[in-house]
Amino acid sequence: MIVKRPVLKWWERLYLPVVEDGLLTTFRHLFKKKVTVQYPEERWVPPEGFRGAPVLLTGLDGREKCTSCKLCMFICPPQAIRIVAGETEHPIEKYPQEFYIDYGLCIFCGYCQEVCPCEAIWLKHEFELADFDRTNLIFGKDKLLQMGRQEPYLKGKEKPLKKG
Amino acid sequence: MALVWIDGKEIVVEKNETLLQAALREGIYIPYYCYHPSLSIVGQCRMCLVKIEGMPKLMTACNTYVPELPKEKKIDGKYDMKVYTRTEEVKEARRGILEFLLLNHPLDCPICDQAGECQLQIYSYEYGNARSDFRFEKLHFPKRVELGEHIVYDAERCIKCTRCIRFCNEITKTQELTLIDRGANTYVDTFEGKKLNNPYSVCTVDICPVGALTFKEFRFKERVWFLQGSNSVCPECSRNCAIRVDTYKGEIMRIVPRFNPEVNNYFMCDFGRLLSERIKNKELRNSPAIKENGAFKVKSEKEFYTTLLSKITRKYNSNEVSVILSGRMTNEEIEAYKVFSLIVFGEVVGEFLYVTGDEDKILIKKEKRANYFGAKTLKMKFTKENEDVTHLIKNKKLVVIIRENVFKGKKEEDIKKNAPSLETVVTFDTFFTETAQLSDFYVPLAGWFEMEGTVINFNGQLQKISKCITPPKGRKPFYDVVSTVLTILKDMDTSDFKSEKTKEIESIKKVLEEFKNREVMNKGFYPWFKEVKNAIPEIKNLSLKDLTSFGIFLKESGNG
Ligand code: SF4
Ligand code: SF4
Ligand code: FES
Repeated sequence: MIVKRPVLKWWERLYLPVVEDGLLTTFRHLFKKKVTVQYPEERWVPPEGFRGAPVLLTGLDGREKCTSCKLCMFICPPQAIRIVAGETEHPIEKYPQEFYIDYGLCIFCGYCQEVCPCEAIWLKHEFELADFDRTNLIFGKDKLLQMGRQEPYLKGKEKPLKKG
Repeated sequence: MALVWIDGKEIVVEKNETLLQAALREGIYIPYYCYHPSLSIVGQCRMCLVKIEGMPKLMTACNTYVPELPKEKKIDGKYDMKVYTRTEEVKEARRGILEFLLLNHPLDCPICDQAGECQLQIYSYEYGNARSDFRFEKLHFPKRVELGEHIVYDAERCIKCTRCIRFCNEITKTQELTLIDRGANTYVDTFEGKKLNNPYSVCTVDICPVGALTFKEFRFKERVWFLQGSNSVCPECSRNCAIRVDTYKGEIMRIVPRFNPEVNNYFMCDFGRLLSERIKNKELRNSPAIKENGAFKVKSEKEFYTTLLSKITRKYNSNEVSVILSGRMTNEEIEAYKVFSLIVFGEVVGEFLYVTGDEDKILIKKEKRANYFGAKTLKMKFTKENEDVTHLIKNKKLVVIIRENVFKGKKEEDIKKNAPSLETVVTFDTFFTETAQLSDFYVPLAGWFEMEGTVINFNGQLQKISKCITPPKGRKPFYDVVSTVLTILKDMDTSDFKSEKTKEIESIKKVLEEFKNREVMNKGFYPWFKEVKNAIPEIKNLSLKDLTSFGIFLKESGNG
């Protein structure tokens, strides 16, 4: 494809009027409401539906909801999830023995949340995940469950799956 | 022979053939559960319903044979039967059957091992309803029943197709399973006091169309859509059952039989299948090592082979050398060994261990090494049946062992007592076995599932094994080891071998020269396969492309 450069009019070629235009826009903003957040002194509250760190949820019985079906592991585009399944005595025979999410790889696409048949993985509003060491970004099952329990707005999600 | 019209296609149906078989053969797909090509026909599941013209109700295709009509009664003047498999009526019936099968099904695909290869899932997607009209409490059945040592049964998932029962009645003839309780409450169980522990028990898991029977060793290990299958052959006896090795990220997850009508049909024995468990947690080494003062020292490849070759090449008379070979070597490795032996000992020495064991009338064969008949075809020598190793090493100075753990359970003193003159022991093996620990030189080889090769079974069926997992760089197939040896010898000063007879040194040079021209040096599997082709006249013009997944039958090999 060939993109043609727009031919400038003589008014635009004079240079100064266009610069003036730009500066005017800048000055206009001086009198508008500020949008800058003074992070980290000021905190930004993410809107509803913001996709932050994926975490694991706990069911009402205190057990992780995940049954280790590994659909999230399958769907995850950067393959950030790793699960090792195990067998338990619980009527739901399968559970995740190990569950890792590598936040260094995660692209916060939310596919895992969408695909999960048990609503066990949820994208939290948490976005401050930076670390000096990549290995610290790999979160294990305990940490993920704990992160899931902390979030007050995830409370309602703890309802057991509707039958039907 | 009868002529049948199915959905506009004319099909010739043989006398002993059912409608379903004929349709499948001609590529008209009719869904089925209880029909299995190697088992008897029961018509249990009703999934294969089709519309036959003139019949008041739908008929099951799996147990409908086609009679030949007298000429004047033929439909449209030539057909013996007219069948519709895609009318609304048939589709409605399929939807109904699937809804019935799923009435009491727990719908627990997320935790079911069969998910991904489950016929219930596939047919529900293709022919079923997305929802169920059943609004009541489902029936509950026993779950997690251990029918046998390797088999866990979930009656809620079972569709009562009785394939597993028929397998135990007809193939193994051990009759462990039956349906107990009647009506809606029926499910599969073992007879009182019996357990599903026959040598082929896990085949029931393969033929179960749903996830009711699961293989304990594979249970919850990995979802099937992550698995990568490679075709191979079971190394545990001379039947050479065709198998598929399912791996995930370089780890063998399970072994399942692969259909091969010439060899094993749809089945394999549990012993072979459990090989995937047996090879776990065995000690592996990844580079060749020399024993110095009682401890193995890892050496670089060049240094190792230079030391090894200067120690063993043309140093001993052939009656002072014992080479113990194994039927676990592929044809290519045997050919490569011939070259190795020619250079190092001046002639082809060595005997294959003839290891035998129990056999049965179904699959398991007497010879417990996969390529026993390959070695026979390539005209190698054999020891006596199950001969003890002490006879073989008596009064020898050099012992070379390839792919056998002959010193299993033996101590250094035992060996010293039998062969006081023994100077050097060289072991080539996949695992760091007891034999390897007792030897002076150890070379790790690629395992059965880590290399390419061809093998010949008891019947003369030549099959190919493939690299299912990639071994670390230091572990090579024996033919690659020989290629390395050839390359190293080329650069080595052959006069170093201090042989008095210069004629022999000349011959080393000659052999090397010959094989340089034949391109076997470090080119992997294919050139050695060419060597095998040259050695077996019957497959002289065979190309790898012609070698289908069933392999190729050799008239002159095997027991005939
Ligand atoms: S949000 Fe996307 S990238 Fe992150 S773990 Fe889930 S599926 Fe993977
Ligand atoms: S266990 Fe499987 S093979 Fe046996 S009757 Fe049930 S569904 Fe059929
Ligand atoms: S396949 Fe015909 S009834 Fe089951």
